[in-house]
Amino acid sequence: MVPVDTTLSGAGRNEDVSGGAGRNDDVSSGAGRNEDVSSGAGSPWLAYRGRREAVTGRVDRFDEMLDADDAVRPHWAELVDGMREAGSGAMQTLQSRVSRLVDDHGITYNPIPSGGSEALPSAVRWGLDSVPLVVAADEWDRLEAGLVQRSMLLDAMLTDIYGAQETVRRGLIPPELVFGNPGYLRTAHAITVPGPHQLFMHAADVARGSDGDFRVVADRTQAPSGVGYALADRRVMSRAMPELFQASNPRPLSTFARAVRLALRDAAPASAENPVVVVLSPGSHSETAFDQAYLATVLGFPLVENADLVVRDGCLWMRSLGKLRRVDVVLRRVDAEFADPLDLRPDSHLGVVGLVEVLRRGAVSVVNTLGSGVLENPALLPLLPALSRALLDEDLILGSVQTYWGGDPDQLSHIGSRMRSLVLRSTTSRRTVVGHDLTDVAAEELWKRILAEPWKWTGQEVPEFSLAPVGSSIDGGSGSQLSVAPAQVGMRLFTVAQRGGYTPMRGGLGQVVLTAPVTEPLITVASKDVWVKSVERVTPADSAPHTPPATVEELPQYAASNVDVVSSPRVLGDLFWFGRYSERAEDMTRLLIAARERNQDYRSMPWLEGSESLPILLEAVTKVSRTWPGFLDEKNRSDASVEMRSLMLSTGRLGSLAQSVDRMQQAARAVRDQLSNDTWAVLNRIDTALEELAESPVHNGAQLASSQSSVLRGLLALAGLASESMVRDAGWYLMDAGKRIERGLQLTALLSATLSHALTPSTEQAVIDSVLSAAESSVIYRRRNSGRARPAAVAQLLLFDEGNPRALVYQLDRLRDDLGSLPDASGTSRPEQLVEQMRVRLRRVDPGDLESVDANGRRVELLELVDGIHDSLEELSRVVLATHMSLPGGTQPLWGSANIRTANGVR
Amino acid sequence: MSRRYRIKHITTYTYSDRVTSSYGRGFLAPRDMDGQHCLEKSVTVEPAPTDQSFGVDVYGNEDVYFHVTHDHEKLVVTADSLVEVYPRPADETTSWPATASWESARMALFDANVPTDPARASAVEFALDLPTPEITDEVRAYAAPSFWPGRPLADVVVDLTHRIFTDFRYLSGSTTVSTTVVDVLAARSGVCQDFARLAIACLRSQGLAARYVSGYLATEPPPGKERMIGVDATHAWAAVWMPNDRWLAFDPTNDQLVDERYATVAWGRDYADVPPLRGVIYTEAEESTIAVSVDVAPQ
Repeated sequence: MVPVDTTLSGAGRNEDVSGGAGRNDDVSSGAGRNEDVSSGAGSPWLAYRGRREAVTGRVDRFDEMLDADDAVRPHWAELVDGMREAGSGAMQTLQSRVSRLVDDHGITYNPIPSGGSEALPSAVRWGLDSVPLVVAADEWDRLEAGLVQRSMLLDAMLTDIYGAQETVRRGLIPPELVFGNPGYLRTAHAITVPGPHQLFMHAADVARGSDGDFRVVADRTQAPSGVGYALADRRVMSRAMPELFQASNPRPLSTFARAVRLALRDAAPASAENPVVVVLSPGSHSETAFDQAYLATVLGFPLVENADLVVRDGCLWMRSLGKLRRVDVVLRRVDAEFADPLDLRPDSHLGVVGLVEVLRRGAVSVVNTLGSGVLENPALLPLLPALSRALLDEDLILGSVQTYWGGDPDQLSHIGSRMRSLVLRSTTSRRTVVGHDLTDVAAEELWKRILAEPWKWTGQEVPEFSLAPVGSSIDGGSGSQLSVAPAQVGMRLFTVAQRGGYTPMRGGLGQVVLTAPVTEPLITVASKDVWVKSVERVTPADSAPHTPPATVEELPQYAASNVDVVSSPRVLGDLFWFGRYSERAEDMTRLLIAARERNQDYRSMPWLEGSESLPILLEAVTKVSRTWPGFLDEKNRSDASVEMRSLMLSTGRLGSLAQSVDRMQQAARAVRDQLSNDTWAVLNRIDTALEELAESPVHNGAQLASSQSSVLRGLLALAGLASESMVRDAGWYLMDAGKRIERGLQLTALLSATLSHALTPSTEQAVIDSVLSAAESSVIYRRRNSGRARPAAVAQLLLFDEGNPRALVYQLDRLRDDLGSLPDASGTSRPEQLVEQMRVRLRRVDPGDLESVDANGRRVELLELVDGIHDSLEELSRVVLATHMSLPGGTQPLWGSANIRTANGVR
Repeated sequence: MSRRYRIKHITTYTYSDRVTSSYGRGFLAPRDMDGQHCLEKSVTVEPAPTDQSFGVDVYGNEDVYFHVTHDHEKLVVTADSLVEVYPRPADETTSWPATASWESARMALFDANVPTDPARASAVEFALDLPTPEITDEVRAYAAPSFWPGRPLADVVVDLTHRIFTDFRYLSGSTTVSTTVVDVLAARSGVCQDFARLAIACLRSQGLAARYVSGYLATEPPPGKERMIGVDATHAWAAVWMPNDRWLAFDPTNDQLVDERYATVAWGRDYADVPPLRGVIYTEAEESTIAVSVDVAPQ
């Protein structure tokens, strides 16, 4: 379960790295929450009515689907009919299809670890409900008009607050609400976004009361999150129910994506002719990392982290293979106060040093602009009607959930008398208190605090949410028969600035919320796709040029300027490690399969010839993966399946398969915008195979075998994607270099661990069989060699055969090509030299010499060669990382200049 | 008679290892304001920065930005300026608004029913406590004896200045940027920044607006001695807001009102808004030392 404040912005505060306190504040949805969902008879829709009371108690709520007479509202008709026709059981099928698509798209959410845990969050599946939230065309029109007006109003306020401050001088906004709010950044005063609007993107969380009116719970202006999730939700839903999607024909979200893209380019400084836009993320561990990465992918703009950017010569630059490329526009997903450690919070590790200076000179545009968070002050809500009249000369169309500000004596008395039914929020910090939960003592203490500084507090009524059907099991899918149940829903809506005003997303991020018990943050249990109906054309004469409704919503795919994007040291580093870890996982899986097969053979039939090979192979597993003591311990050899299982599943164990898979996925998430969309489905398949193993009994050999082969198939699919679905650019070459280095490392380690000593012929034969199988070269070996397996023949195939893609020489050839294809290759760079030295060394060896043994039976020449090359490959990896992926000049800013009070008074 | 000073302010950072990139921002030159005019100013950084510029912050203070990209183990920032300071009006403390009660200054700030000047709103910024709160019961208790009902604001300020001067020991190097007002109250010692911050917290605890001022103070050589070069220092004091948008500046470190011996560089809510220098460097170095030399030479 993920407690989520639907009212807070999704700035992706990755405060575990910035040193601030963690905060859980996003639009997440997560696994479910217990609720008694008894099954309905027959149609899943029959039970809906009866359950409403259970959700709401005695309070009447607006029902999105049913009217006052319990008839289905017209705009829901297609959806309800369609689902009815599908019959009982169909809901369950649909929900599992939705969940599978969510996994296949890799849509995740990173819960912030509670209690200040240092552990990095692990991604959880994004919750998406299978029943869309349908909004009627006429209702949407009113809502949209109100939303756009509200964006205009907030924009006018923002422009004034960082400009003439007339609203403050004239008393329209009490000065303490600006000057005392942490979102107000004094450094933002000299910064102006080009164009008519200062507020770039606005999100509003809306709830619908029992009177049917929409009200805003909170406005999000800091760095709103959720657009990426909404787009991804739409993509999934249009694929999960293509026929219904076509029949209902909701208004497309792609229009909004296009508008955001245009608006970003428009925000560029006038001097930029072909603006370069980047999306600045706090990192792949931030709460809404998926949202950021997906939006960047849809827009076709690079996703960057602060390490990718640098300020020089009064401009902002993106690092790119030792070169710098000018950046014109930054879509900011790092909270403003963390954006520049020089002029904002000095403890931020997420910002770009000097960014404020570049902004002051107008050489870059950052949106949302620094300081836009000041509009999130809850005490502004009760002032909006008056501000709307003063600034726009219009009455406010879309109101807010009733909110009282303590700085006004009348409103203060409301807070005092109604404290238990309010959510109390500070205007100067992020502190929030639910009045309902307070003990008498705590309530009295809080009231005293409020009275001492009343302007620092607001009280907001607990919002009333409307009801709508949900198909997801709110109990987390534990097997109870699914049905359509009523739940409380809200929406996050979005607008983006255009030259002439604001364009809304005609849809939104629907939220299934729990408000009983009242909690703060509000708990969101799942998201919903929001389907806004088109206006029905009455006569053909009205209709615009006819466009057939799409069965599947395709988002615009913009050509990403990948050549520029891929080459930041951070991205290159992540791709390199993606290559290394995916290869390590594959080699490890093959070796585990070979060892398991040997183990099965000899465990049951120890009298077979060659049984002495078993300990050698098991120990090789430990040595190659460096997971000591492992099979070097006799106890583990005697019951190999326990250790085998640990090597498959222990994510925390260095060298385990699970660890490699985990690191591979982390690297993949950090370069999400570089990888094919199919990657996520494949990664998901690997996860599922490992999960199945984890759930099976310890000694279930069949499951072990089946999981191993599923994992291997997944990794092969991944290798196929890398080979056939990725553009050959600097990132690809370094990813492939990582793969080749790792394969060479694994191979040399394997040969060193298995062929180091002369063995009896039958044992040697068995060992060689397994080595060939682990090195995926059995078939070719048998075709070329007959009779007894000989180490020299193995060496010929695995070390020197230029046509064998598993051979060492092949890896070195590829490394030469990869490194030579990098834009800054010289032929004599240190990495290229190292590869050349290894190739020469290999060429000078006579395969026949490798069989020679010393007095102790050790194959000295062989060991010298494979161990030597192994060390050289390790060295190569370090050099490649240092050459192409290290950030210049040390690593961490040092606060040398600011920690002592430099002044000494005179007395 | 106005006075002129040539001010040279040299800050030297020495690092234990190579620094590859150094970004800095500083408030190092006297600003223009009522009663003060800066005639010449320059900021020189060594090694020479690849980028340097001057800007003006939200309070009208002039700041300097620089970025050094040459490898270095020593960074020297030299600010050189010539400033002319005029005497304060003779009746500054004996006429309205200084003679109005301190409560009326508070009313002018916060009571919307009292007609005031339009600058009221901006002054509220300086009446609020800092983001990391400094106003505690101890601060309120320390402030209280100076704030008699109906006492003229100038008297309150002179009294508070004198009490801080008397109650606290000047102890060079005893505090850092993280020292809080409560720490200072407990230790009964500090440096000029600490005394300025304490005075500001006391005024704010009573609902008045007060700002932090950084600058330089010209020192007189002891009788019969030559003026020594480079022994001066950067200085800090405070100012309180009065109706009609007038500010009364005072120096609790030296128990006096600010006059033509004081050259103002910048003001803000607190030290952190206007430090002489702050920066971010990229380095493997683990240690850095700083040396500051200031010379305020009367012309």
